[in-house]
Amino acid sequence: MTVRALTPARWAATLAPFVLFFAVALTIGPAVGAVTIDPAAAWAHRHDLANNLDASIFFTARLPRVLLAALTGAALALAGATFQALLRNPLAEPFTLGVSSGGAFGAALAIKLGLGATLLGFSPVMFAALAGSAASVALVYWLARSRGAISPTLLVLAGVTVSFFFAAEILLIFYLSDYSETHQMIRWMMGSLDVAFNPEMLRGSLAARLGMGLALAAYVGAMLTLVGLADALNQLSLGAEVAAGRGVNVRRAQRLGYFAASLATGLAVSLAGPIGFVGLIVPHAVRFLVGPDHRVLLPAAVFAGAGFLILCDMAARTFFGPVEIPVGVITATLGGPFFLLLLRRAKGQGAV
Amino acid sequence: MILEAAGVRFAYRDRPVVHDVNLRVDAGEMIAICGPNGAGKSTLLKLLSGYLEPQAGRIDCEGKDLRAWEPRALARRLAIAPQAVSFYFPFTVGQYVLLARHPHRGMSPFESEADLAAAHAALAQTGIAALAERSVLELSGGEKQRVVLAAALAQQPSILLLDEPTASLDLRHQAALMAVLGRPDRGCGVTVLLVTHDLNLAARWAPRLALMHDGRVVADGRPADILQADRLREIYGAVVEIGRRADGVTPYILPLEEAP
Repeated sequence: MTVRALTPARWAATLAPFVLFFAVALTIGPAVGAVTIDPAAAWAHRHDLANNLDASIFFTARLPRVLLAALTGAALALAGATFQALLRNPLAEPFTLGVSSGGAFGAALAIKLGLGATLLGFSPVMFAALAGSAASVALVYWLARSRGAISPTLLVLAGVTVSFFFAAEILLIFYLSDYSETHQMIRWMMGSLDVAFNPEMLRGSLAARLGMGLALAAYVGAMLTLVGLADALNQLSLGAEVAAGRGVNVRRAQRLGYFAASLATGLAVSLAGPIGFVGLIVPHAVRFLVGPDHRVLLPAAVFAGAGFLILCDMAARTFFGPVEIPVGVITATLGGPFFLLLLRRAKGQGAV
Repeated sequence: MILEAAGVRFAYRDRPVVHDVNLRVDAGEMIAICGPNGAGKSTLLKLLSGYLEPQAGRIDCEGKDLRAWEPRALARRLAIAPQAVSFYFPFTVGQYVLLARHPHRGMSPFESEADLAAAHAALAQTGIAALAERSVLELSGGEKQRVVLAAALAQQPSILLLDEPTASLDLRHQAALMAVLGRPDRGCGVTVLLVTHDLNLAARWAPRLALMHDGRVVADGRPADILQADRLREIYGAVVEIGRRADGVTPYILPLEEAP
């Protein structure tokens, strides 16, 4: 058989290793860290965090972080794969269209203004970053929108311009800030998976529960939307005219993909900072392994991205423990060589 | 009538490209659309496929305005093989052709046996079964062109719109392709409209030829009647010599030099 159809069995078999990878990362992620703990003891005392150090470290310090890493990695990898298809550009990534510079501008502004009060359990820096991301998404869309299909070239051009604009404003804020503020801003831009949430907090505060529920719902909603767009993205990745000729509502699919991928990216940037590399490289690595069919590529990227960032965060917490390295440094340091190996192999197979 | 354009007009910004085109196509016809560069042939094909919307006039498929069709239902009846398709991602040829089954798959994200059979048939018809596992990024110009055509065939439409399908094919493959399209039993009476610059292929294989000039259809009929030296000189601004094949009817055309 020379042409292989995608059947449910083949789909599941192709995804299984990625699910396994994620499961392994999720299991060892919270168990490993600068302090050695006994996961079994932690699990046994899960209702009694105050009186058990293992349980306290496992559930309060590590598990929320690991979960945030999983969500962030999944969202960035998925958004990256989506933008690559939408823009028909293998070099596109979640930050190509300016979401992260908008977010960074918002965060820098909030730090400079010294905003303090939290809302629904989130810091003002987070909200400012989300607002900045949203502003850049709206601005880019407004610049690139047209009556028919959106031109990828126009979108990239608008995105890069908006990026430069926000980058200049960030420099202006740097210039006007003192050392401690600048340090905070730079630290934010390196990305961090420190989480404000922990089980104690959630038990106590309705607002925190509501905030976390909302963030989670938005995350999951955006990601399900994107995975559901796989068929349309397959067609769009071949070109707007081809897609239209096969019954895809091009305008609707483009808009849905753009906003859902931007929402996922904006949330990731606001909660964890602009963690680079994941959104560009994970989709490529997965494409080398399973091919460019988005019906497989998108869900595989979700699990690969989640597992990858959990492991990177584990390394960031452990390597120089108890000192933590920014996770954005680790993603490229660890992922770079791995990706180069994949690239060599793919070149040998003619898949690039 | 399976496809009808009535008073169709289209302009890119303020540059009119198609003026007041009327075209009636019966089921099973094979029509070549010819004309000089910039005559509006490709734009007309994009209008007929529904990708572009006419700014005046209307286009009906099976008696219903293209804009009123549900997109997937239309894509099951009408397929277009655009000119110069670019490939960006390393799909295999087999995957690429299978993706054309999208409008037939309904809500299922997976392909059925029927989808697989259609893809195999299309690969065989275009003579590229051996390429099925090759990446589309590694194809020659002629191979690409046949992959795009195979995808359009796999869509199993009743109307096939082809933009310059022979442009980068060598002689043997040109003849093979036109033979597939020109066969009376081609996929149970598929209607074919093809844009081409090759008047000889059109004359040899297409029973009907529509000649376009400055956005209008200026002649429409049997190639033997339409392809006349003075008309071609007027439209193309080129001096041609017209010969006849052994049947004494089918013309073939040789361009000479620029008109004085």
